[in-house]
This record gives sequence, C-alpha cells and structure tokens, in this order.
Amino acid sequence: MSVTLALPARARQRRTPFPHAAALFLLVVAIGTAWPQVLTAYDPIAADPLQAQLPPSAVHWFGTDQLGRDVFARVVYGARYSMLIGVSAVGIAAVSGTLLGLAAGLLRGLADETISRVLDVVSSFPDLLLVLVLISFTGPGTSNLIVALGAASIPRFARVVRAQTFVVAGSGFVEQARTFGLHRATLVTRHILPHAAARVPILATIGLGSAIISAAGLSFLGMGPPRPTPEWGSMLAEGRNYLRVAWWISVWPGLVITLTVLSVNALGRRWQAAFDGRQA
Amino acid sequence: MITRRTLAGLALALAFPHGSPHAWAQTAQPRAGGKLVWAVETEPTTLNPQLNGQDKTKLYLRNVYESLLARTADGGYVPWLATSHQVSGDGTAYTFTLRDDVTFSDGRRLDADAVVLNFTRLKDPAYSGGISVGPVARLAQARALDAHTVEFKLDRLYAPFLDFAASLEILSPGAYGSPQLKSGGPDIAGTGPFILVRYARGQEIRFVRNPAYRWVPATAGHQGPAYLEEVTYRFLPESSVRTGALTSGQVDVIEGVSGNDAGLFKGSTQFSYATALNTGTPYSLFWNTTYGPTQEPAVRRALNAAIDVDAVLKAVYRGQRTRAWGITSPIDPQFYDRSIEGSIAFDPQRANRLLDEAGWAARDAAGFRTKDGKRLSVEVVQAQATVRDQRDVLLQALQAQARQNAGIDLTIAYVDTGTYADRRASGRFGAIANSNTPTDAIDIENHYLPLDRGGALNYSRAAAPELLAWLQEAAGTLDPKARFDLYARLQRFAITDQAYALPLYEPEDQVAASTAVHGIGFRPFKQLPESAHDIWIEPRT
Amino acid sequence: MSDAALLEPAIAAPARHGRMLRQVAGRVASGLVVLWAAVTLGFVSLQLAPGDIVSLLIGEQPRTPAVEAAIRAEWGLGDPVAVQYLRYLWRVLHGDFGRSYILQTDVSGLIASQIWPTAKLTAAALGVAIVFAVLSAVTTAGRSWARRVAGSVELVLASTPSFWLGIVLLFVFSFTLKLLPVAGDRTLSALVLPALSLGLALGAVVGQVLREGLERALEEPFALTVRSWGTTGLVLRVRHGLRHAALPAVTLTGWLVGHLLSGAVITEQVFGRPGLGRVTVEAVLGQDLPVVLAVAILSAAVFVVTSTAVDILSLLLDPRLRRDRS
Repeated sequence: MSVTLALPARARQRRTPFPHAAALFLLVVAIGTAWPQVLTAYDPIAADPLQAQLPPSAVHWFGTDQLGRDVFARVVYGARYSMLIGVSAVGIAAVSGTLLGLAAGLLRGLADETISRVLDVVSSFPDLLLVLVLISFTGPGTSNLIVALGAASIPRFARVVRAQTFVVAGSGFVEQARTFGLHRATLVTRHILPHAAARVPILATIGLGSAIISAAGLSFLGMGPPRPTPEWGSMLAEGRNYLRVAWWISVWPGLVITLTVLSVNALGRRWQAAFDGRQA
Repeated sequence: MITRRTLAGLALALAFPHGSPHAWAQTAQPRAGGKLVWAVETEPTTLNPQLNGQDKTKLYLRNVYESLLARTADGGYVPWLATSHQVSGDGTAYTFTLRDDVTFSDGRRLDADAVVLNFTRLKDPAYSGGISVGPVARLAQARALDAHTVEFKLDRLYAPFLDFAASLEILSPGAYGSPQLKSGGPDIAGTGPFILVRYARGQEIRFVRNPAYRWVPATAGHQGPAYLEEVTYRFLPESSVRTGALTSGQVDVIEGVSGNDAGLFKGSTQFSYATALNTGTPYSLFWNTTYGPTQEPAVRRALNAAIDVDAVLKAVYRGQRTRAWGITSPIDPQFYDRSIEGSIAFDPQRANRLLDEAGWAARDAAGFRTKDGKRLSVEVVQAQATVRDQRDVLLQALQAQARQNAGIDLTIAYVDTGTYADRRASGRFGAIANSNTPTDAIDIENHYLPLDRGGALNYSRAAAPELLAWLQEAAGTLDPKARFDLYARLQRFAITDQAYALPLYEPEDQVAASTAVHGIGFRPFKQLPESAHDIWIEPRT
Repeated sequence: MSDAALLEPAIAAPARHGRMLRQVAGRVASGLVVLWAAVTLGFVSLQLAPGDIVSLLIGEQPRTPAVEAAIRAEWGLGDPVAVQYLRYLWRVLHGDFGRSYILQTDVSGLIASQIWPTAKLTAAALGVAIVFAVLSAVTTAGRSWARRVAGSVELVLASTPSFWLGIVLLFVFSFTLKLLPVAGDRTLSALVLPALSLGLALGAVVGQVLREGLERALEEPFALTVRSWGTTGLVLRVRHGLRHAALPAVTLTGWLVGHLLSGAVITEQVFGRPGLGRVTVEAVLGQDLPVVLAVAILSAAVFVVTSTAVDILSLLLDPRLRRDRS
C-alpha cells in the first residue's frame, strides 16, 4: 500500500521536479494544520441539511457535502488529522527504530541477534496487514492507528541505524576517541548516534509520504478517527457514493492527499539528493 | 369470500405504495428459462435462516427455505407447507396439518417428525444461542400426532405464537447432522423453488431451479416450478457500485437504492423502481433511561424536540424515505395507531427551555451545555457491522442538529460486535439506534419488555411496570381490538409521555430492475422482497 | 550503503561464512524460525485480545447463563493455556486455523476460497507493474528529456493513493464510459481496473530502480563492445542492458510481495472484489480474530517463502554474493 522509495543514486544528482511548488503547497498544509481558522471561516462539522450537496461556488469554494458541511473547511481541518497521524506514526517509528538499531549495533552478540530476529518477524508481515492485526486488537481510532502504523515501520529505521552503527563503531575514529578516554555515554551520544542516525530524518521524510497514504487508506476502510472527524481518507470513503451526483465531495480530499504526498516525496528526494551529494 | 384474485390485487396494492405498479405490469406472457443476476447489499453472517437475524438476507434465503403458513396482506394466514391449522379454544394448543407431497431438495420427505425436530432443536441453546430464549421458549411441547399432523403446546396463551410458528423456516432433518448446520450452505436443504448450489464469500450466491417444486402458497403468482433456470445474487456493498452495475447492464436487478440514485430509475423507461416499507419497529434512537443524562425525562424530551427529523431525512435521503412516529410500522395492518403521527414537534425553543429548567444552563468552551461542570453528552453506540442504508450519514446529521439546536453533545461510537454486546449488557451507553422487522407485536415486546423478561432489544432499558402489564395483557388475549388498544396506550406512553425513543424513519426495501425483468414483488404483509419464484425475463432482443 | 538496503529485503542477510549449502540451510532455518514466531505471536495475541469472546458470539441476542454455558462448551474456552497453545500449533501445522467467530465456518476453507481472486489480482497487478517499469525504463533511460518526464509521471503515480486512483478509474471507465465492469470477479475484464490501480504505483517505483540499473549497465564497458558490433539501441537496451539491470530488481521482489498483498486489501474494497483483503477488513471490523490471524500468518508465510527463495536464487545466480556479506 505505502510506496516508500529511495531514489537511485544517479537520479538524486539530477533535479527533482517542482520543488518550489511543493514547498509552497506544504506551507499551506502546515498552516491548515496549525491554524485552520486562518484559511476558512466555516466550522468543518457544522451541518446544514438545507445546504446539502451544493456545487462549488464563491460561498462554498469546494461545495458542500451530503450533510451540508463546507467541503473546503473539512479539507483544511482534515490536514490536522491526516498530518498528525502521519507525522506521529513516523516519529514513533523513527525514535524507537533508532534506539533499537543503536542497541543492536552497540551491544552486538545475543542482543543484536534477538533484536534482528524480532525485526525479521515484524517485517515478515506485510505493512498494512500488521497494522490491521494490531487494530483488530485495539479497535479503530486515531491513537491506535498512530501506534499501529508506527510499530509497523520500526524495522525500516532500526535496520539502517543498526548497519550504520556497525560502520561507525568499527571505524578508526571511535577507537581514537576511546584512547582519548571519552566516557562510553558521551561516546555514544556525541559521536556514534549522530553518525548512525544521520539518515533517519531523510528516511522519515520519505516514510512520511507513505504514512499519510496508509493513514488515509485505513481511515477509508473505517479504521481511522470516528466521524464526523474531517479526515481525508474517511471523507473520500463517505463521498464515493455521491460521486455521480456530487463529485466535489470526494474529488477534493483525493486531490489534496495526492498533492500532499507528492510534495513530501518531491522534497524528501531533493533533500536526499543534497545529502548524498554532500556525502559523496 | 375473498378470492385469490382480490387477494393478489390487495397484495400488489400494498406492495407498491410508492413505486409505480405499471412499471411491473405484465405485458407479455411469462417465459420459463433464463438466468437472472441480482446485486444485493448485505452479505449473510450465516445462511441458516433460523439463525440469521439479517432481514436483508431473507430475499435470497426465501428461495430455499419455506414455512408452514404464508401471510396475506391483511395479516391473515393461508396454507403453504401446512394445509390447515387450528388453535385450541384457550389458545395454548396449535395443530398443523402438513401437505403430504413435499420433499426437501436432499430427497427427504417433509413429515411431522421433521417439523417437530425443527422446533425442538431451536429450543437448544447449543444450536441457536440466544434465539432459544425468544418466542420458541414459549413452546412447552412439540409432538407428531401422526405422520402429517403436528401439535404445539404452550404453557399459557401467547398471542404472537402463531406468527412465529407459521413463519419459522423449515430445514431438512438431514441439516442437523451436517457440519454446515451453523454456517448454513448447500448442505442445508430446504423445500423452496430454488436450490442453493454455490456460495462464494464476498462474491455471490447462486441458486438453480428446483424442478420438483409444486407447493406454492396461495399468495404466489403462478403454480409449479419457478420460471428462472438460475438466479445469482452478487454482493456489492456500495450503493453507487450497485447503481453503476445496473445502469451499465451488468446486473438485471439491484436492491438498496440510495436516495440520490432513486431519481435515475423512477420514471425511467429502461428501468422499473419499486419500494415497500418494512414492518416492525422503525429506525429509532432509543435513549438509555438508566445511564447518563438521558435518565432525566426532560433531557430525553429536549432531545426529541431539538432534532429536525424532517429536514434531516430530506437532506440525507433526498426525500426518499418515510418519516416514522411510533413504535411499529405505518404499514402494519394490525397494530399501528396512526394518531401518534405528528406528536413529536421540532421545537428548538422548547428543547432549550426544558434543558435550562433541568439545570443544564451553563455552556462550556465548545458551546455544549453543562451541569455541575459536566458536559451534556450522550454517546450513541453503533455496531459497525449493522451500518447500512446511509445510517452513518443520518447519525451524523442528528449529531449536528443536537449540537447546533440545543448544545447537546451527541457522540457516535462505532464499535465491533463484541464491544457492542458488552456495552449493551453493562448498560453503559447513551443511546442505541436500530430497527427490526418482526410482526404481530413481537417487535414491540422485543423493545419494551423488561430486559430480563424477554426484552431482547430493550435499548432504552425501560422498566416502567405499566409496560410489562400492558404487554402481558395483550399477549394473553386473542382479541385483536383489545391488543390494538393496549399497544396504542403503550405507544403514547413510550413516545409522547416518556420519550424513550425518537422514531426516525421506516426502513424500506427498494428494488430497481431492467424493464426486461418481470414478476418482482414484495411479500404480502411481511413486505420483504418475495422469492424469485415468480420472476421471469423477456428474451433479449 | 546501497539503495537495495533501503528497500529492506525481508530477511536481513545474516553475516555468515561457509559454503553454499550451509548458507541455503541457514536461510531456510531462519525462515522457519520467523514463521514459528509469527504463529506463536498469533496465539499470544489471541489470548491477550481484549473483549470477551462470549459477548462477541452472543451479539444482539439475549444473554442467559444457559446460553453462555453452551457457547463456552462449544468453543472449548476452559482448557489450560499450554494445552490450547500446543493444540493451536498442531492445528496450524495441519492447515487448520479454527473457526470464524462471526461466520461460524472453518477459517481454512474460508481463506482457501478467497486465495484465488486475490492471487489473480496480485498477479495481474504485478504484470502491470513490470510492464510499466520495463517500458518506462527501457524507453527513457539515459535520455535526459524523456527521463525527466517519466520521472515526474512516476513520482505522481507513486504519490497517488491506490484507493483514490481506483475510485477515479471506476468512475470514468465503468460508470461513465461503461467500458469495463463495475465490480466483482466474474470476467477477465473485471481485473483491468483493479490491476491498474494496484499495479501502477508499484510499477512507478520499480521503474525508477530499473532505470537506474539500466543506466549504470549502459555505461559499463560491455555496452560499448556490444554497440561496436552494430547492435541497435533498443536491442542493446532490451537484450543486454536489462539483463544486467535485473539483479537489483530481484531484491525488490520481497518488497513487491508485501506491497501487493497490502494493496490488495484496499483495492478489493474499492472495487467490491472478493478476496483475502475484503475478508480481512470485515474480520478486523468484526474482531473476528481467528480469520485475521490466519490471513496474517498466511501472508507472512508467502513473504518468508518468496524472500527466502529469492535469497537462495540470488546466491545461485551471483557468485559474488557467496562471499562474506558483512
């Protein structure tokens, strides 16, 4: 479901398309997330049955939905949920993945073996299925969705950090640092962690796109925040039965999800290209 | 003397209260043969009709499973698998004489022992779970008087028993030894005009004609085997997809048409469209009288006054659903007291005044009313599995109304079946919305008997002693007039006085079909779509 | 650090010395350990699952002690946990995943009936992905203008949620143009739209990896040699370049299997198709744990088997990998 990708090295050296438009769009999404009332005066859950299914107009820019709620307001406020779920899930995965990877890389031996095997088991379940299994225990809802999505992508981070930790810990400069008599804790936090986790922010950015898609997909299936929460995926699910008579109910949220993920992916790649250029 | 023709006419008139019967008018001679594909919304939890509580699955299960008597539009009983029935003077003994020429599709004969087995096994909780404490629990003894006569004895008079006994789907005795007994399936033979041959979960259920069939009830349109050679029901849960499947010619008939799509088929020359109101309790919000703010009658009355049900129905269903007012369906010829109509007025001023007087005068930051710092919050618990007919949209519209008109926080919790059962058992919920279709006041008993006295669906947890007294008195008499009066009193008390529930709309079946398909109809009295026995298709040109 | 590592091969290649046979045996053994752990995890979660199974089974029906007792007896809920675990392990080994709480049917039978539609969908989507990837890579690799266009298209496709793409395709091609069936799994044409909506995004990703490999291959000395034979560009690309570029694509397989199975869940829902995904979603929403776990264990098995097979295959194909990989 989630399409995460790291662009091949050569492509990274070339220009990623539309970075400025992407940055601008994400800025708008960020404003929508932080201060939705700046962008719209409408209440996203205020229904007005008499105003249901109105096409887009000067009054309702994106039209109104099956309950007469302003679709633009719902899309704007929806950013908060969709972004919150995506960012939190990736945050959980990045932090726990980094810690696990670091632990495995530093402790080695039995600890490494155990952690690696557990990661193998976790990643042997396809992403979405693992999330579904977790949700079938916890039930649907925003926080359950975040935890499930986050847990499912821990291995992605842990593997990279573990491998980098091996590289850094084995490199000469750690040996040197040790001869200078640095404390183990200082060594880890000051020297190993920054290098081992250097790629984590980039991985997280790339993972964010797929986390947003996954979150919207799960909400689409009815496992996201409860209604009437204006989450993009559930708006799509609600609107699809009205596509024939009121296309605007589902087309806008669909378009906004796509544009958001597109922008995140485009910028993530640009960042990755810059990073690898520096490293090369 | 009512002839069969007038009966059929009556049935037709009742069957098409909204749709145009002309669309179905038979212009050509019925033709045997052909295959029909029908797209339906609801997939069965089980194919065993005795265990399946989903009314929407009955339209295909009825192709296979039949019962002792059929109903006429006015609520009368006519022979089907039984040729006649008698009720003893004190109403505690029922005797059914069975046809002697009926065979199940597995070759077994329908006899008195088979019928007795069906009723006695239903009393066993290991087989039927909670159903064993339903109406069948009133049955004290079932026995075969001879090969084709069955006698049921009750401990005491229970007026709705005939409705139950006459309508129980009779399974082949062979079913009870089958591993498919609980899930249902091709192994569970019935006597109907079709034989279940294939069920593919998520995809379709297919039936072929039963060539040996010749025991139609008097209400059927024709004698002998069904016209269609084969009928397949495809499961398409999204209403837009069903509509698209019909308009693009991939299926011949669809069931469950959204208000938005009805206009496509109504008055169309390519399609016919018909609806029939369901029987039983309307889709209503039942306020919990033993938990949370809805314990206060004033809050319940305020809720009923704060919601503009007409406007909500118009928005959600585009005017394609019928407003409900009472405790049973307007279509019920026996027990519906029409005087309840209009008794709940949309009156936000009254709602707000009631709440102010009840002490819910303060407002919190979000604009909701509070009392002693607690928000006026009512949680509607909805089982995810039973959401259909855009009810999720409807509930959201109610939620918006309660918030905007009276500052009441109506939250909706979609829960899985287990959680739902737990919440119901513990009584920790604000409201539950549901409808059900049993007839002969069994639906009223389900909703208003005390929880521990057979009120299986008593969502409002109402326990006023009047309710039990009226219901027991009504079930204890065979006089229809006396029963009508008692249920009418209960209706006034429950809806107008106590505001136990807010009736919303009467569910209905909508069927749209290509005009080449003829003979689709609804069951007299029970209203659900009739089996495919009378359906035939014009040869495609 | 190679890009292939970012695409996380399912079984992290353990750093081991030794000969082929031992490596192969090692892969198989670690695959088995992972599967055993998955099944055990499944059992543990069944035990720890919140909520009372009895409530789930009773549902809307009235609840009396007699009814509860009948259910407990029927489902064998009284045995010690260890006994239940061994029995579960034994049964799963024999392909028996118990009985569905909601549907009352045998889970294995239910799942077996849903494998074929899902297999068809994933195979068709895989076909779409490969065809798209190969076409896009072969025609645009190394051509600055074309690769930028293709890259943008791929970026858009990879960023489009499959359910959204599915809804749009359905609306345009089925509802409006009436070219393709609306739903279901009755004809081959019913497979077209679901396969496109599931396969295109994956094809976009594979296409990028493949183009990268192809471009690298075209710069290698052999490409010059082949070109000097007078071989035309297209033939060079297809016959020689692709073969060299194919190896990183093999490591993609595990990733693809996972994403195809995950994507099928949503695609089946959008298109009203039968299949494992639809059964899973219904089971999750109904807390029908035996079904959820059976699907999870089954897909883990598919995943482990394919990635172990790919691992072993690449060991056989590429002698360089037989050396120490740490």
